Amino acid sequence: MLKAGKAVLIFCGLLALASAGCGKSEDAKRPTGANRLVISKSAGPRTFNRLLASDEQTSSLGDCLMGRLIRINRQTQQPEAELATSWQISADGTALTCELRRGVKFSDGTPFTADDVAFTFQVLNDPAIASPASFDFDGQPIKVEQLDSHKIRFVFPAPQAAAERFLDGVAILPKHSLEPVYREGKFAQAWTLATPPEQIVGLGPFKLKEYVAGQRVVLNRNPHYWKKDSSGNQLPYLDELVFNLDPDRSTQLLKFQQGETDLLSPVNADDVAALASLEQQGKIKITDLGPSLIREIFWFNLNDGKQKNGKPLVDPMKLVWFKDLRFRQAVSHAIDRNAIANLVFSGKASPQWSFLSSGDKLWFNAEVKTYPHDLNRAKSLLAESGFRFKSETELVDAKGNPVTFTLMTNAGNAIRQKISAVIQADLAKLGIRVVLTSLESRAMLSTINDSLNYEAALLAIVSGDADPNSHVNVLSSNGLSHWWHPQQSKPATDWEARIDDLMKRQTSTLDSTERKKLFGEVQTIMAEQQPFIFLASRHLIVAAKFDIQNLKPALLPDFMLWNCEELRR
Amino acid sequence: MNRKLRCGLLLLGLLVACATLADFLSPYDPAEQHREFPFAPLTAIHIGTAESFWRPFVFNGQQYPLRFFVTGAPYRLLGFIPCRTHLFGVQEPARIFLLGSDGLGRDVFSRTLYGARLSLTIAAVALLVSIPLALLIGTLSGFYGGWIDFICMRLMELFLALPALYLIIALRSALPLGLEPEKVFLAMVMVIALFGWANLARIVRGATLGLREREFVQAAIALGASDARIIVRHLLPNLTGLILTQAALAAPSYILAEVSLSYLGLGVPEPLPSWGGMLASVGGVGQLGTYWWNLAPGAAIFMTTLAFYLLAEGLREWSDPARK
Repeated sequence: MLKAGKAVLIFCGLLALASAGCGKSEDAKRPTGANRLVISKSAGPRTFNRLLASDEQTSSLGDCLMGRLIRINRQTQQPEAELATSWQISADGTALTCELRRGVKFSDGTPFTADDVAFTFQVLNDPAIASPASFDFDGQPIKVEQLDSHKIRFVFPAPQAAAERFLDGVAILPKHSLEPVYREGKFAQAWTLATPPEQIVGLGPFKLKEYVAGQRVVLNRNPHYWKKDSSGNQLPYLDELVFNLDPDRSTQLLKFQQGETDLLSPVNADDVAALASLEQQGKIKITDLGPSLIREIFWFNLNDGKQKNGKPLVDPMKLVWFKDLRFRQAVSHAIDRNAIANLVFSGKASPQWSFLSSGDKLWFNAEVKTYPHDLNRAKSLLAESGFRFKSETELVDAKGNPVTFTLMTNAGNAIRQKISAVIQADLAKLGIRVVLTSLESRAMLSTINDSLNYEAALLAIVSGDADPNSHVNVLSSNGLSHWWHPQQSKPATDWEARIDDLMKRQTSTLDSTERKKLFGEVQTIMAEQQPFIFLASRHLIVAAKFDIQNLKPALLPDFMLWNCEELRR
Repeated sequence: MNRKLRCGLLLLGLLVACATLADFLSPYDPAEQHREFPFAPLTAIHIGTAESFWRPFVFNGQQYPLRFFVTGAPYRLLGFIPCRTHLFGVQEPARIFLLGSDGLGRDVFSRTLYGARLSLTIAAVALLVSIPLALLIGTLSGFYGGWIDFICMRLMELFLALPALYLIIALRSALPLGLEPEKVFLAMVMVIALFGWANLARIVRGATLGLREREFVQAAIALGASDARIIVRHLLPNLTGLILTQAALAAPSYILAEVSLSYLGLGVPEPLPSWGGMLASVGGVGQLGTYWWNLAPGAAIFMTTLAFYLLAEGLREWSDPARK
């Protein structure tokens, strides 16, 4: 017999295992409040080597431990000087020269020089290391020229717009401690989770104090950190940063409510109500940063390829509808985005039609085609394409086939479940029957990335940076995340060819007004063609204890901790 | 009939009636989204309008009297009689949400009733599959013993040992994506039954082993009755009480299996309302306290389980020869 009791137990068991130490661990007994911040994280880092993994946890922790030449100020979305005091881009746009900060020391006291930068790029460009942070231009790596002990030049094979931004993702490694292991070919085994904390050496405001697998990561201040505040005080202000590993969102919320943790980001729109009373008592501050860079999207599979068994990936009859621009536009018009914003996100979201969220303030193009909820417009678009109503509740195509498709989304995600129920109800009014199906997240990702045999999918995309270059993977027709038809050998449609061309041109255009114009056209095409049907961008809401100062929450990750050296209480 | 049996039957009867007449009893279609009313709390019913002091009404800017036998969303009563009459309702723009509404403005009361239909059907169909299977394998194994018993027992142990939840998740991802909700339902029932029979069969085998040694069975064997006759005429009638009790015990676990699956988002897809799916939508601790009325399916699950356990207990006492 299938013991449901057992099933539930297994489930609870997993939670208990995963959140071990979330009961009354020693953390709870230690006084919070002192000069430290306690934060819940949904997972631990994969490695302490920032260059070897690009997941959210590894990078946000890595950015506290490691220094970078240039940092993107999350709030202004503009680059600012860190370990490079100044930088210059050559007139032809192919070289970036950085003047390095003098007198800077690693957390073990060793001075920082251009050698460390050169070593970092040697590792980064090494194909054997295969760093996810590595950067190439049509297969050619960046050349690094060491001009003197504190001056370095990066040379690109072609003019490169916004070249300095990529330095935000490059953590500078200490040559003195990592070069020997690199020479032995054991770089991948250095700085793993099992490495003793004192061996992890960086230029960031904090250094690693303790890592307890599955429980917590503790950082303490780096006494050699270079940055000082305006009155000359050594930063960081905080003595300790404690990351508790609480995979369950409910646990994170409860701990924050109980005052065991100091920050909560992001806060789900549904949970704001649960935090309202604490805010009224003045114990916490909730900040709504407006539309985030996360956009909920759904799209039809436009692949005309075949499966291994020779069957087409998408039923040819349906592929005809999906490829029909007016069909996609009609669907887009039929969806009530305000309902999604109000029902799914409790009003804490903005309807979205364009590729970018309005939170991407430097690049957002507001002048694109919009798709307000308009059933009559949708019906007339469908009629133009030869679709007709067989009955009030059944739409058929020109050949009389009833219009129905399967919308796939990831199981266990309450937000997506709700959005898909709204889409289902809205399209039912157009006579389109939507069958919903949920797949476990990994199975879903392998379907949209590899097996490609699905009809429509609902997911979200998020920008890694507020710069057009960060969208190449989605927009270029040969991109991996060009989900409606990934990895095309040559652009399947004229408009995709046009986007490819615009994306290539903006990459090598140095004039930012011109770039903005080019990328603006990309957004216009995306809005016109609706390969992704954009639905809404949820607001980014963050909450913090009332006494934390200098918080500059921003839309780019890490939302709260990007300026961790300045935080104080 | 003892009191427990009567209580159990009454409660179960009530649930079955609610499930069968769900369309008539519920004021709204379970999938209808009243988008202006997300997470509406329970609608307060006041008594006494201007015209009559006992008339119940709901308040939405003005008084809207509660009406009985109103015309609403079309449905088919008992599955075949086209009908538009609902037991009660109020005139729009007012709404009546006896148990509040969920995040999409759907009526929790209507959805809970329809969910009962799904849950009880799953229990019934899964029992219809697993009991005959259990009876067949259990009696054969217990009656013949030897290598048949050995094979059957190992098979049962295999099914008892499998981690059901993981297997079901794997099965679900192996099924084609575009499966209609009805087929998903059917597949789920089959899976639940597939894992449900083994434990029952074990119990049947144990009882058969005992019965085989009893005098009347030995007498039948001595008189030269065929195996089939012995099993059908002598063993099965003596297993009735046991089987009924075990069925009543198994039913709630089947219902809970569906709830767990739907809670994980791998059960019956929207728009079919299911108790597990409804609970999943308020699974976060933030919503639990704020929108507590969405836990109504939990109360329904409790009631159903209670009904079945009362029934099982009552059946056990009723069939216990020592008490007759």
